Amino acid sequence: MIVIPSRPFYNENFSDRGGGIDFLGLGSVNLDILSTDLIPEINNATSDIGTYFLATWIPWKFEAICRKAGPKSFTLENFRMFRERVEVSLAVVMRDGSPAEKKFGQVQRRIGTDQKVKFPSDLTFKSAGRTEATSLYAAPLYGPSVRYLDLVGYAISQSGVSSGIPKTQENQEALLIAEHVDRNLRCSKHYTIFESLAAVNVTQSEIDDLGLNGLHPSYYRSSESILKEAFSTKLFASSSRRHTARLLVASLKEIGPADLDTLKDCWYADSKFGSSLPTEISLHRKKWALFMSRQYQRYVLELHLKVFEEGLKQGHNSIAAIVQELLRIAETKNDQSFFDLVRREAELASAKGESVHNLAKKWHETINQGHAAFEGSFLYDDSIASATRAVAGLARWYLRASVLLRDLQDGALIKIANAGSTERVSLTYLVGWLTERGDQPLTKVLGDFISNFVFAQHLRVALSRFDGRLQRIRFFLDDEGIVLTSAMTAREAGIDPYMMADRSFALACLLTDLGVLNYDYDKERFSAGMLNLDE
Amino acid sequence: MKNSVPRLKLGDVLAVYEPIHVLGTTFTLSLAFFESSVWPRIKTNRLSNFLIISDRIGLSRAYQEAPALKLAGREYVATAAPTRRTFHPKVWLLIEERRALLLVGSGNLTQAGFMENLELFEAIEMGPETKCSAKLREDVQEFLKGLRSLWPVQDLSDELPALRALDQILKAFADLPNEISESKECKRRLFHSFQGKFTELLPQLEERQTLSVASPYFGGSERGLVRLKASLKAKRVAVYPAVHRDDGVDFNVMQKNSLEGFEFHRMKVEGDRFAHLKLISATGVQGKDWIFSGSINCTDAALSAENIEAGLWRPLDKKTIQAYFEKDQAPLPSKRTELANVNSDSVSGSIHFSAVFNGSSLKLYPAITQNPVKDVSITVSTSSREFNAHFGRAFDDQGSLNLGLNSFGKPLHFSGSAVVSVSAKSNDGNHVEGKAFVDDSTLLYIDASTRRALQYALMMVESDGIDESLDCLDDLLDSLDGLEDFALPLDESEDGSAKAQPSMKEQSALPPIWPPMVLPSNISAKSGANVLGSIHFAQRILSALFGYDSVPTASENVHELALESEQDQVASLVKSKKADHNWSFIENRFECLCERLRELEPDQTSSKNLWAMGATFFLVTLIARRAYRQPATTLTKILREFLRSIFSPRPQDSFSRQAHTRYSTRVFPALAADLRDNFKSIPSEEFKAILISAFAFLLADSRSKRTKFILIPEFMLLKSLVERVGSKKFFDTDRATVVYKRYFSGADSSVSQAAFISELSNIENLSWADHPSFRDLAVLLSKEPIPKEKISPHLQPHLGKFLKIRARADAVIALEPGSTICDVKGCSRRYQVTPEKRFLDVGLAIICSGCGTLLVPADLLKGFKEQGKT
Repeated sequence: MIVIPSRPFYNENFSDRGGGIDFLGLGSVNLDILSTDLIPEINNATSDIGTYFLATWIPWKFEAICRKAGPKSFTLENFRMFRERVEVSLAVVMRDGSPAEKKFGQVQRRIGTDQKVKFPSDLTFKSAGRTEATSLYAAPLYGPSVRYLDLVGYAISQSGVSSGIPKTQENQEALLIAEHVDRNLRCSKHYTIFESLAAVNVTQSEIDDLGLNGLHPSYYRSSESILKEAFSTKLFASSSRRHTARLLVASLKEIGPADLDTLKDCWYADSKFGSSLPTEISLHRKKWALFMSRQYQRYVLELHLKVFEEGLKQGHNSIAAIVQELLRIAETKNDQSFFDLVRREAELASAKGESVHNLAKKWHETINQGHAAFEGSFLYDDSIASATRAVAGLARWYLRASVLLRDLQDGALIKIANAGSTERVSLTYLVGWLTERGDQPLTKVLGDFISNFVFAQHLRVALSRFDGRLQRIRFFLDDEGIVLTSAMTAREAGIDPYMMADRSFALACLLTDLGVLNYDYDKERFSAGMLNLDE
Repeated sequence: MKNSVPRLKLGDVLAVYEPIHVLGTTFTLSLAFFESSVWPRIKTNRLSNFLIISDRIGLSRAYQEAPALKLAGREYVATAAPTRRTFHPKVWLLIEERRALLLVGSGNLTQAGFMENLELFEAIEMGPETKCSAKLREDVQEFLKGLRSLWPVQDLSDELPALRALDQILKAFADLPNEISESKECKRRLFHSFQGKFTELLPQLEERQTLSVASPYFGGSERGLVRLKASLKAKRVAVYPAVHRDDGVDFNVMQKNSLEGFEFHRMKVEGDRFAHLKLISATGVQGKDWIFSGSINCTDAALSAENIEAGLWRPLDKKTIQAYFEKDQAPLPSKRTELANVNSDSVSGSIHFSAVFNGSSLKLYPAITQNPVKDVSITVSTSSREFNAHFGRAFDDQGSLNLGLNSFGKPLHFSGSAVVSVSAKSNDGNHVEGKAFVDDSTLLYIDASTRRALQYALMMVESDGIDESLDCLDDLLDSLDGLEDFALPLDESEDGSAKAQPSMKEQSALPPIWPPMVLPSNISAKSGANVLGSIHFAQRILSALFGYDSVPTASENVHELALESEQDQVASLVKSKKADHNWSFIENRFECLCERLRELEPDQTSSKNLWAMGATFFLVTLIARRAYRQPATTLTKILREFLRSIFSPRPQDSFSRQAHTRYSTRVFPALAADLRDNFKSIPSEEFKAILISAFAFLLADSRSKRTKFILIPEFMLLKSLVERVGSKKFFDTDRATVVYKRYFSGADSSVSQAAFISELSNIENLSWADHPSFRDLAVLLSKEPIPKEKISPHLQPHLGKFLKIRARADAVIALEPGSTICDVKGCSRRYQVTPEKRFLDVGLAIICSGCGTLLVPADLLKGFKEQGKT
């Protein structure tokens, strides 16, 4: 409780700590598309089949122990204790230079390896200095995914609702995986560590031995085909995941070894690619193309945000002043319209003429992922001024999006094209918005663009997320016009945009573990593996 | 010397009170700053009015932020002072029941004004435990009246939320306990332009006194300074011009040496803060030294009351005053600052109006004397949506412009704050334009808790609505928990007492069954994964119900990833739920709600939210019925069930009185009566309109089907609630029509819109005399002969038995609600459920087939007797 002074006082700054991500709120729509139509139910962290296997085994083993120890031992508290024991051990065997690491190779996603364990250890999170956020069952890690893939569920409570205790599903695949992991671990003479709920005090070498006998996730990369088939059944239960996997394989077969960015840009921009794809995979590729268009749209918009903030930082306090500066840097003429800008950019594809439709078609046919003018390469090129990339990038994105959105017939594609509607700037909304204003002066179009899609859009998103502690707003009106917030001026304004992670790497890694793909770690390229997915 | 001026965060000052009314005035403002940094600090639990008045120019700039705002016009009112004078005061007044906090200063409602500039404020508590003079209280009242006088003379306080708020603030301030102003120790004064020129309000100096002036603005000339010196008869003036960001001062520095009696100093300011404070003081005579701080720059316009300004004057000792004028050793810059011309902004033209949405129409009221305009284009912008309309003329004879919901080609729908832009031609052909926030009176006029519940409901169906902050999540989750706990069926515990199912938060501690079984994939298992999941789950389900194309928002850091996983979950859940039997799920929940209402014994806490929560559930069910195309018969069932749950007495099947219960009989009183009588809780105006519409619909339905309308006792109770708050009109036809269209209409509806409207006009006159049994009672209780055909058919078979005993005192018995048996001693059918008793279930009087006693529901008999008296 403050004491109000009995005389005039000076004001003090009470700005909140700055923070936030996805400043224009467009990422969540992309995430929605991803998790509905492209790669649902796994996430960017779930990239190792071995970790799935161990996450399936832990509750299975716990239940087995309780069956011996008696029903009263089947409690959430005991599960937590057992889980921590396994998870601390798991992180120990995944440490740099561990015997298992040397023998089986590194996993794609290590979990908890920052823990500090003093041996002999009781293998609890507390003594290892870990929190629940680093548990493999945490939501950002494997927790939800093992449930979606129907490997683990929750034990039912006496009231008919969840008891909160994970329980391995009783389907054939989950049990096969759990029993297989158990058989391997039993080969270690220190398996007893996991055989009861009694307190333990173990050494590193004891755990390392377990690592060599199945506690290291990479161990399962070379497991029997029946086990991989069991996991494949679960992984490909979703048609969206299956189609993306098939698209990956077909693409790699057509264009040879490639990194995932190249593949996705190919799906997005290469008009000659994929003519022989089966119908459903071809449709899936179009979904990816629209998704990538949204990814680039988001990048372009956030680039404008960056430029806008840089302008504020330099003391320009109005949208009009920033637009003038933007156009000056981007070397556009004052009397140019937006379509003039589009024509200027289309010349890079040797496209000339009046019809924007024809220019766009020519752009799509000519400029693809290998071309220097390709929007994907251009937008990332930080040797070019942000303002130039923002303005020209918008025109280039528009050219491509106009073609991708043309004559959409399939309901699923139309849904993606409209995702986000007006509030989160759908593809169709932005293309329509720009088309409507194509003949207006660029000064006005960009002014309205920044006003609607940067200034107001950011405020809208940030205000709806404000919690009174973390200030997500990056700018607002002040006595002198628009200014950066206190929290922003104290930090670096105008950060570089980034492309939202899209789970494709996690899926490709799982496919590699299964033998469907191969991965060249040095060249960071995938290629089609021995296993034929269609079989 | 270290500056000993106290420092405070304005956010903390505004958080000291839990106000019922708040008034804030400012020149410029950023409502995005206000909503993000100030509003969250205000304690809004008891808030009735929050009014921000700014200068027209300030507000016109703030419209840039409008598409992002959530609360303007919905939780608070932001309006431009309807005057052509510059409106410049920075006065805040927070009023509780017995005390008020007055905050007067130099900072605008912007980040610069509240945080970054160096500003000076003074806060005065006016309450039983603090000291303030009666004069100060008068000053504040005059200031409020001065503000009120800026609006047109005609009384629009019922129509304009800003005026309504201002009137209520005036009244609340006047109603503060008198004893708070008795002290004569404090001589502080609020001087403002409504009292006159500051040069005349401030006391003149004595010969030995020095005048000190700190100001960021001088109007570019020495005129203000010279006028001040002359008026206050100061011999010596120390001037502290603020150094602007371009290292200049707003003063012709070349002239400063030619001014006699003036000395100029640079004020010491920490860091690079801009000294925006405005301060005048007199020092040199002990006991007569004073200080004056507020919004008043040292310009001619400010000092001469050409502008509207305000500042606090108070005696203070010289030593303390000197701390406010600490000199910097650095010299003043010689450069004249280049000021941005604030008027050069695109000030929104010359149409000045207020916009009010009342649920059924949008009205534009001219604010300053407004000439009629023609070729009028109107755009309503809300979030990223726009609604457009065109009219030939507007504002003829200073009249308001009334826009129906369908004036815009598509139904008007707000998903956040809204701004109306008007563009037109004046009579002389010039282009004119203007803007105003839409004040939503349906939200602004309801109490804080109901407003909050409605906001929650709206948030849940609006894509941008979910605030991922923990505070909001907690609030929302509490609200959902409340709804859920409220609607979940009761379990019987081992001792037979009822207990609610545990909320999702508690489930993790529940003992598992043995041997373990996997919980089937169902709602509670999935939605309970974490808090965020619960919220998104609820949002998705409700969005699905409302038919919105919901877009989940992204979240922070770990939440982003958590959300990622939750989204798959919820999306599939919604789909599967839809594929299953969504309607059964909702119907079941609704039945549980009604069941709970019939068993509920409200306490102080639950009584606050009961109406709002009940309303939310009721409306969700009605909307879902339409979404899932349930037949009209389902609608009448829902309406009847809900109305009876609230307005009928509630007999309990089994009841044993516990020590802590308020109810002592087997029949609980009607919930609405209990809430009214014991907790002073009545439904909001909006919800009352819905309830009245529900009764009117059922009445029309009965008429169309030629059945008896049996909810007379229930309606009489609602009527008493409506009359209790003294509403001018019993119902608003426009509002009721909206209710009909939104909730009751349908292809198979038994009641047409015309029939519904017609019944609305009848319903106000509905009385006990319309009860189906009323005429029977009149006949049976008269002393005249009773022909069979004059009474209802269900009474006719046993009329003979009644006639035999009609002369006895106990021939008529009042039955307690819910009773369906005769317990007359000696009756051959005592305690038996005989066929005629079923009519008691629907509130009709019957004649017992055993003993001939006329059994009448107690409230009906009471109503009959009361009606007889009148």
